[in-house]
Amino acid sequence: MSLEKQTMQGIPHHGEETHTHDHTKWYIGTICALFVLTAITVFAATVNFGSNFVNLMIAMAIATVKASLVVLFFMHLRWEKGMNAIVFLSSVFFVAVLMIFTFIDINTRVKIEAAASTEPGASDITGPAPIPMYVGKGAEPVAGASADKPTTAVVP
Amino acid sequence: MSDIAIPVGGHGGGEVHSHPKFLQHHFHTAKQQFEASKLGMWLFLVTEILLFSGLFLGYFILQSKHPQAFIEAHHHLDRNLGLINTVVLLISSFTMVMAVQSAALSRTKATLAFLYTTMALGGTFMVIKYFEYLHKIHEGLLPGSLFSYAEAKVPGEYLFFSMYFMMTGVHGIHIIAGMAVIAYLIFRTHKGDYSSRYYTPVDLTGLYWHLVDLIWIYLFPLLYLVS
Repeated sequence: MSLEKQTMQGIPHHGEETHTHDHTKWYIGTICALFVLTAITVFAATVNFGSNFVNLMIAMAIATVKASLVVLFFMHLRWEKGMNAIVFLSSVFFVAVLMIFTFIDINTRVKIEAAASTEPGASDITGPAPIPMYVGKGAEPVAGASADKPTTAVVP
Repeated sequence: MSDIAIPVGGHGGGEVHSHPKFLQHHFHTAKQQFEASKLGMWLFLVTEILLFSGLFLGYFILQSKHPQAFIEAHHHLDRNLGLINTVVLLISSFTMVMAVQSAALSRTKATLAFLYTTMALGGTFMVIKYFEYLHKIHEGLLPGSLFSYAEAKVPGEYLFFSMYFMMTGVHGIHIIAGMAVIAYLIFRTHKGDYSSRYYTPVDLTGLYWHLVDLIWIYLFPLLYLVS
């Protein structure tokens, strides 16, 4: 070790050490907060907030708080300079674009299909195929379960 | 210590000074090298986030189209096992961050202890996952055309299991990969390669492990707590 220390002193340029502070208290605080939020997530799933969608959004909001804690403290973004945060947030931005634009598409498509089917001469436009109970080989062993349903329908 | 300085000439206007073994030639300082490695790791993590976001998007689309099938199908998952696995992964993230800090403070024994704990917790997660998978395979609760559960009530339940197996499967592969890297870190730590001067691999593995934990934070409510 003494050799190493001597070496360190002999290196003015390469010897820069990043000063590491003891963050143990922060980490313990973070893990406790994560446990509490996990408990809240489980509890929130037992409460009916009005609709499936609202419940899903609440669960995702809590998960996002948890994820933020992990990123800020465990992944050190709180103590770091901007570049890594910019890189990370850019991915969050593009994920948001992916989600939002796909949902704009998916949720407006139903209306267009409905409108199209009421138009005259639109009889060839059919709605989404009814989804079967089983597909492929899995359909065969269950007798009677899908007698009137297509067994190999393409799922929309 | 293997990183005993060796004299290298030609840097900084002909000065002759020592050069730690871990410092690559194209970096001026160890700190610069560390920051560059870290930025590279964050870029990799971005690609991981985008990989998983595709799966999440698929889940959201199918879930919004077939909400009843998803609610019915998720009852076959054991909520308690999911919760235990969540807690296991959260603790493993904590032990990982403590391993990184111990390495940064040259506390080799603590680093080893935390790395072993993290690996054990990753293993625990996979063992629980294994029993969950075993149960589902036994019941025929499988993806797509393999779905053969005899008492299916709502059409399209197999869609849920397609998403379940794909998402937890890709996540599980990441856990196994993380455990392999941690095993390598343990090997290197035993050799005494990491200290406050150089612990980049420990730090980067920590970032990866936290990301895998972060993905599970979203997977748990989506798969186990659909309401």
